[in-house]
Amino acid sequence: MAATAFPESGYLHDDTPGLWAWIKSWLFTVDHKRIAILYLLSINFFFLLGGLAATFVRIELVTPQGDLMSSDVYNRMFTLHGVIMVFFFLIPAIPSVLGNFLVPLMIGARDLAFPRLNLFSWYLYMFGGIFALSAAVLGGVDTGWTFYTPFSSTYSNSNVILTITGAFIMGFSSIATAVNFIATIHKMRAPGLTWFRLPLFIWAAYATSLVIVLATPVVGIALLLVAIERIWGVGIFDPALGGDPLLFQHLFWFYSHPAVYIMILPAFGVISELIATFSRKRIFGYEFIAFSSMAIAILGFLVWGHHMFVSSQSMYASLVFSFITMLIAIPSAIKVFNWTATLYKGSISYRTPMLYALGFMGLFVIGGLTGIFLGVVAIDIHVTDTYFVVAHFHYVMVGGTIMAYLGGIHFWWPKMTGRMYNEVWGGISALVVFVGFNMTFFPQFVLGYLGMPRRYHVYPQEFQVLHVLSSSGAAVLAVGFIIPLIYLLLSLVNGRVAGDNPWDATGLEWHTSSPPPTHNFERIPVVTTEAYAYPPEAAARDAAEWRPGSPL
Amino acid sequence: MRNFPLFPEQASSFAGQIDVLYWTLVGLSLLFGGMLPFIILFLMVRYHRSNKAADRTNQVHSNLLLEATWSGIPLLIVLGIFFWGAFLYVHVRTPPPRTLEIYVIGKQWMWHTQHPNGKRENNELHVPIGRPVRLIMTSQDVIHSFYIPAFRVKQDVLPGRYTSMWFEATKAGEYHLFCAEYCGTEHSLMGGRVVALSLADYERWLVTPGEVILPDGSSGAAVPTPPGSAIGDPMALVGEQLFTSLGCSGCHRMDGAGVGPSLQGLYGSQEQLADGSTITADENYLRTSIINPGAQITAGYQPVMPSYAGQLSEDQINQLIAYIKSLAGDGASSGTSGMSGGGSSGASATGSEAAGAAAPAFDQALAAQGERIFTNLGCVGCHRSDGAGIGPRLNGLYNTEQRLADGSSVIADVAYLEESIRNAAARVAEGYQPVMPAYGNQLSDDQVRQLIEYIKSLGE
Repeated sequence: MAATAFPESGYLHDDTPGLWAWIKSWLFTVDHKRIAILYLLSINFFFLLGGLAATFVRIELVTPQGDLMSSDVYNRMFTLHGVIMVFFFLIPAIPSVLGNFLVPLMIGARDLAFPRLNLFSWYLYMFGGIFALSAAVLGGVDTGWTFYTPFSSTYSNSNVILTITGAFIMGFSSIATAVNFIATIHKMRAPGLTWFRLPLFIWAAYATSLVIVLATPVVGIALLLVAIERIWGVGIFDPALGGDPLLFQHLFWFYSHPAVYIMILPAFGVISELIATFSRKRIFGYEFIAFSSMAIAILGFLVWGHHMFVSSQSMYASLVFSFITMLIAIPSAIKVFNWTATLYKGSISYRTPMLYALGFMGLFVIGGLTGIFLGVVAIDIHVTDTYFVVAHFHYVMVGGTIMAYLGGIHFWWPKMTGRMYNEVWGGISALVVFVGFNMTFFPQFVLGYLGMPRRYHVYPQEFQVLHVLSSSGAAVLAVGFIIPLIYLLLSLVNGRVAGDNPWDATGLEWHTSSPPPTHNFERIPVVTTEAYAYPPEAAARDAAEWRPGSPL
Repeated sequence: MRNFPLFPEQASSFAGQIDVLYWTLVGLSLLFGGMLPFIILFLMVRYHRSNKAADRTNQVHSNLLLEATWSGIPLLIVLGIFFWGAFLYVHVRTPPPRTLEIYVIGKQWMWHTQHPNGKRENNELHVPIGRPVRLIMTSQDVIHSFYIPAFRVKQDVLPGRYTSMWFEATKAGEYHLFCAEYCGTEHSLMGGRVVALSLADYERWLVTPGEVILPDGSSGAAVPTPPGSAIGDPMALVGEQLFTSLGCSGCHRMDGAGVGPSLQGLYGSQEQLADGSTITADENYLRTSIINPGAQITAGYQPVMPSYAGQLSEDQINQLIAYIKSLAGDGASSGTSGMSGGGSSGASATGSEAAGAAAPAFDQALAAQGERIFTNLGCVGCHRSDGAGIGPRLNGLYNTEQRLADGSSVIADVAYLEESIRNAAARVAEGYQPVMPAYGNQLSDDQVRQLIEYIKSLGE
């Protein structure tokens, strides 16, 4: 732990001289860790952009009138926010950044199975991003991220084609990464690393990859069909041309509901790692957490119809979809209970990643429970397409995925960069994000049950108090996101050298140097124990060694 | 706190029931989601690394009984919630047999509603309290969603089909009406108010005049002047006029002897289709049968009806359907027959192209009367001037040589025309089916003459 010298042999190190050589060494790298850094930079860029759009939306909603921008601009703004956050941040965030960095390290491999495919996936991501951004720059798109037909295919006068091309290309980036993960996890585990010795993050990445490979082609097809109808007037979705507008919703949600699990399953994986490490004990109910990920991945394919309860879907279909939606609550609950049980008799420290993980549990519970409200058709009829839904999915996506993403970034930051960030500021940021988040989105549950529809540029006077509360919370939340950006960047310059295993964790990734060498391990490790092989007395010893002045 | 509500008003018979389920869920959520953070907080403090006193020996890493408990109990609870919600949902989606039916048309970015007596409104909906109301809704463009928070009801409104929802208002007052499905630029302005009135007030309101924007964009009277002095159901009456002027009545004869099935008692019944299946003749079936008649053919009939896609506005389809529903047979309204006269305003989509340049000599007065008969009998439905009908086009027919189905040919003179009217099957034109009913002695000699003069008047 007390390593003081920064290792010079890490993957970040370049011995080739010259700027061009340096640029080339990054843009043509096939090292999964460097690709993860490329993803980290580009995904965070998109996150800030999507956040900026959200900022404008929240400022507009401070007053009931439309005074900051016209309705057309407002519609483009929330669409930009949705498209960027869903397709270019939430879906790739954890798999492409943390997954790319960690999957080979955690299973004791030198790289992913297909390193060039991995680089190609980043280029696809950037290429898709450029399409989506050019759509925004050339006048924006106003369909909402859901692209409902026939509005998107016939009626909208905005850059629909550019945007869906961007999302379409980005889909292939996801598929490339997922195929890579599946092959790597199957074939490249270190000797002795059996399935039930794998870290739960790997189980989550595996389940996510299966969902990506099976579901993403469907949204690709749906978006392609929208483009065909829009460009050539072929009647697919528009009834005026002989099409069926509901067909699009079925195809779209067949992907986009599993996409929610593409976002949240890797988050579950991160949280399992954090809770175990900072409780200093084996995770409780390993098998149940692992299989609940698989159960969610499978059930996630059978619930898309719960987005269509008021779409004129048949009553019997709605009842079946409602029933299966209810069942999904169970594997989610199993995870939360097992994490809670892991705390019992542990030795818990309040380090920044753990604070994010605990925040995740609080927010995800609210997100999950309100999901049950929405799964009950009779209640969904009233609250669907209102702010209740907006609040619910932000609790799952922001409260879930982003909390886990930030927790994960903090946890593996010393491994990625070799430096420690400022722990005090880390704790502050976790607290500010948690408070700001609840201030922003809890009032939206109340607004939604009152009947405030989503995607409204102007709204009745009586909703203003809650909107102002929500917008002021968003300001706090924004600060919470900016703080880590500052101290994490600063840590690159003056952060304490982390050493190989600053958290005293058990995973294979902590057995190599920080930052790891290009080929990860000097020698491929032989695994004889499971990922959470904390000795039974680890927690007690940790507490015994604690002195006033040690980290809390 | 009037301007800062935290909970929506309850103004329909559903609102209370849905709110009870909602609060139950809130309660259960507080039990789980509210307790769990405290358990976590307790564990966080109790087992924090600085607490050296805590017992950390004999750790457990797995416990089947515990897993079964915390899977089983939530499973039972969510199943209970599911069944509660499912029964409530079925209730919310099953209208009682007798409802007040109001037609709704959504378009970017306004709502049009029309009440059975023909009263129209824009971005408003007046309903009586204590009466089940069913909305029959469609859209002229994109998907919209009709949402009344105070009633806890919402239903997407789709182009190209009907969706419906029902409710019973319980409290007089004004409530928000929103479009809940994003529909473009002015989505957030596509709404207005729902006004729930006592039945007496509603009936008074139904006859208040005014001017509204009609669904085709023109403006018109909110309360129509009923044709003639008919009492009752002007939407159905306007529909009946359309039914006659479009020529539907020519084939869909109410005595069942027509080329098309009789529509008497059709609505709501089980229809046997040609492919052997059965279907409930609801609004969507009627709509499909007008727009795309070949899709669901009644058993025993030929797919000969021309499509009316693009020729009828949503408004007109609503009226036709209101008329067909009025034939469903509770005595009063089914008495009106498809042959009732008076509909001289044949200014419909299929309106005749009057005398062309090369028309032969004919009696103008008789031809005008003939045109009226031609429309009222429904001849115009099959003998379409664009040649796309089941029957041959009649323009320029008179005194020209016609090939017949049996291979011979004939000059279409007065005698041939009269024979074709009275006994159509005798000499059928080449390329057509013998499907036209024989008008035998239903028409007087004078009427036949008037018809023939009209046919003469149809130049190329």
